[in-house]
Amino acid sequence: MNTLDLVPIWTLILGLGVFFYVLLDGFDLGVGILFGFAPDTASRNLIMNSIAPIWDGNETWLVLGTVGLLAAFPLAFAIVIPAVYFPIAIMLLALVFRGVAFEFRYRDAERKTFWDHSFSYGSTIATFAQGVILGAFIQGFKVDGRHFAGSSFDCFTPFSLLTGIALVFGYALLGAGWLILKTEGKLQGFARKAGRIAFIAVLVAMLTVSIWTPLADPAIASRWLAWPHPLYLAPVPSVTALFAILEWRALGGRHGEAVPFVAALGLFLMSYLGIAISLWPFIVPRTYTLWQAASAEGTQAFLLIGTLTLLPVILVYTGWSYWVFRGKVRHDFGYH
Amino acid sequence: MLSTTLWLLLALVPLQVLLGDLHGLNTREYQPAKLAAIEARWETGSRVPLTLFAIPDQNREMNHLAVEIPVLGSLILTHDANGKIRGLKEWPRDQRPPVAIAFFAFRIMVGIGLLMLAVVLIGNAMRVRGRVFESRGFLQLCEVVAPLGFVAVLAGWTTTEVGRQPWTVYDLLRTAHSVSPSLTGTDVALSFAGYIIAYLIMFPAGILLMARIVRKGPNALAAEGPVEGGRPDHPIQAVPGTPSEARP
Repeated sequence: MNTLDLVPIWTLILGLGVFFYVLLDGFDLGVGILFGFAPDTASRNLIMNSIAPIWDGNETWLVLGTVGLLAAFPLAFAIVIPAVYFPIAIMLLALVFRGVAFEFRYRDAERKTFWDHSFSYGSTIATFAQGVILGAFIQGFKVDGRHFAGSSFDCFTPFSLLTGIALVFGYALLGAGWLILKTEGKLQGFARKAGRIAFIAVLVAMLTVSIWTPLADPAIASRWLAWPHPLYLAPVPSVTALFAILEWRALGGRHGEAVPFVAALGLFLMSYLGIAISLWPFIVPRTYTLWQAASAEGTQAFLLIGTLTLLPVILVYTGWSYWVFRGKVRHDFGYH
Repeated sequence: MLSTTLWLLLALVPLQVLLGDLHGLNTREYQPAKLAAIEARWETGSRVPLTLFAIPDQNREMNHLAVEIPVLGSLILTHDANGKIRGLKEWPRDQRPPVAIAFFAFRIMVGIGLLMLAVVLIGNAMRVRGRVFESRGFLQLCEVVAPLGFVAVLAGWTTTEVGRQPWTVYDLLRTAHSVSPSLTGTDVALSFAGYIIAYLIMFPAGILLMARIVRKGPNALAAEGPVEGGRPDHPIQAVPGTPSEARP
C-alpha cells in the first residue's frame, strides 16, 4: 500500500513550533533583556508585569520543538543535540534563574536585588545561547556515520558568537515592540529608543550573516545566486527591506503602536525563511535530509494523532491568555 | 484544608497501593531482572518468601542477615502462593543490576508509603472522634511527615532506574552504548557542576521564602493589604478568592 509521506507534515509542525517559540519566547526574553536598562523601579515593575501572565506559556513551544525533533527526526536529534550540548545546558540554567525571578522578586520589589539581575542576565544569557545554537546549526556539524564526531566546544566559533549577539539584539527589538504596544508615556519612550538601537544592530547582523554565509558555504551561494534562483528568490530580500523601513518609521512613532512589534515579527519571519531556503532539504546541514533523519512512518503517524489533538488546544489557550490580558499594563493592578 | 486533605488521601493512598501492585506484576513480566534485584532473589523458585531486610552481597550471590516471611513473596508478586519468581542467577553477572541499591531504595519507598497510610488512618480515626484539629501531637506528626513524599518519589525513581541497569532500554540497548560519543567526562562534570550551583542557590532561596510565608501565618497575609503600584503580586495572594486583591 502506498502510504502518505508524513515528513512534510512533521517538517511543517516542527518548523512552525520553532518559529512560534522564537517569536513568543523571543519577545518575552527581549523584555527581560531590556529590563536591565529600565530607568527606574516603577518601569521595572511594569515591564515585568507586561509579560508575567503569558511568559511561561510561551515556553511550551520549546518543549514541543525539542520533543518533536526527538520523536519525528531522531537521527537529527542524536547528532545536533550533543553538538550543542553546552549552549543548551547554559540556556536551561539561564532560564531557571530568569523564571524564578518572577516568583522571588515580589518580596523586595522596591530595590534592585539579586533577582532583578537574575532576570535580566538570565534572559540575556539564554538568548545568547540560543543564538550560538542557531549559528552552529547553520555552519553544520562534523558527522561520522550516525553520530556527531566533533567536540562539545566546536559550536563556539566566531560565526556562532556573532549570531549569539545578533539574537540578543533581535529579541530586544521584539521586546521593545511589545513594550511599545503594552505601555504608555515615559516607559514607551524608553522602549522606542532601545528599539532603535536594537534595530540598527539587527540590521548590521542580518547584512553580515547574508554576506558571510554564501562566502563560507558554496552550497548556500549557489542556492541564492545561481541563475535562475535570484529570479524567484528576489522577493525575500525585497520584503525584508520593506519590513526594515516600516520598522524604523514605526519606532519613530509614525505608525500605530502595534506596528513596531508586527514589523519585527516580519523581520524574524523573513530571516527564518532565509535560513530555511539556505539549508533546505537538510535537517543536519549538508549531511542528512529531513527524509533520511525521519523516524519510521508508523511512529510519525502515531505521534501525529496526539499532536494534532493537542496543537489546537494549545493554540486556543494561548490565544485566550493574550486576549484576557490585552491592552496596556497599568500601575494600579497586576496579575502575577 | 487538613480535613479535605485527609479525605483525599483516604482515597489516594489505597489507590497508590493498588497501582504499586499492578506495577509489580508488570515489572515481573517485562523486566524480571529488576524485580529479582528489588527482592534480592538469587535463586529461581516458587513459594518464595518475602524478604523484609537483608544485606545483599553481589559477589557471593547471597543475602546476609535476611529476615523473611515464608511464601508471602510469591503471594504478593504473583497473587498465587505457588507462583514462580525468577532469580538473579538466571542472568549472566554482567546483566544484573546493582542489587543492594535497588533493594534498599525500594524498601525506603514502601516503608514511607506504609507510614503515610498509618498517618492517614490515624488522622481519619481522630476526625471521627472530632479531635483532629486540637491534637498537637498529630499536627506535629503531619509536619514531620510532610517532606517524606519527596523522599519516597526519589527512592522510587532510584529503584526503577538502577533496577533496569545495565540497560537503558531493557534487553535492547545498554546504558554504555547509549552515551553520546562526543561527550567526555569533563563535559558532563562541567554541566553537572553548573546544575549543582544553580540548585544550591535556588533551593535555599525557595525554602527561606516559604519559611517566611509560613511564619507570618495566614492572617498576616490577609492583613498585608492590596498590592500596590504594578508591584508583582504575592504568589499566594494571586490565588483567586483571596480577599486582598485589587484584580480586574
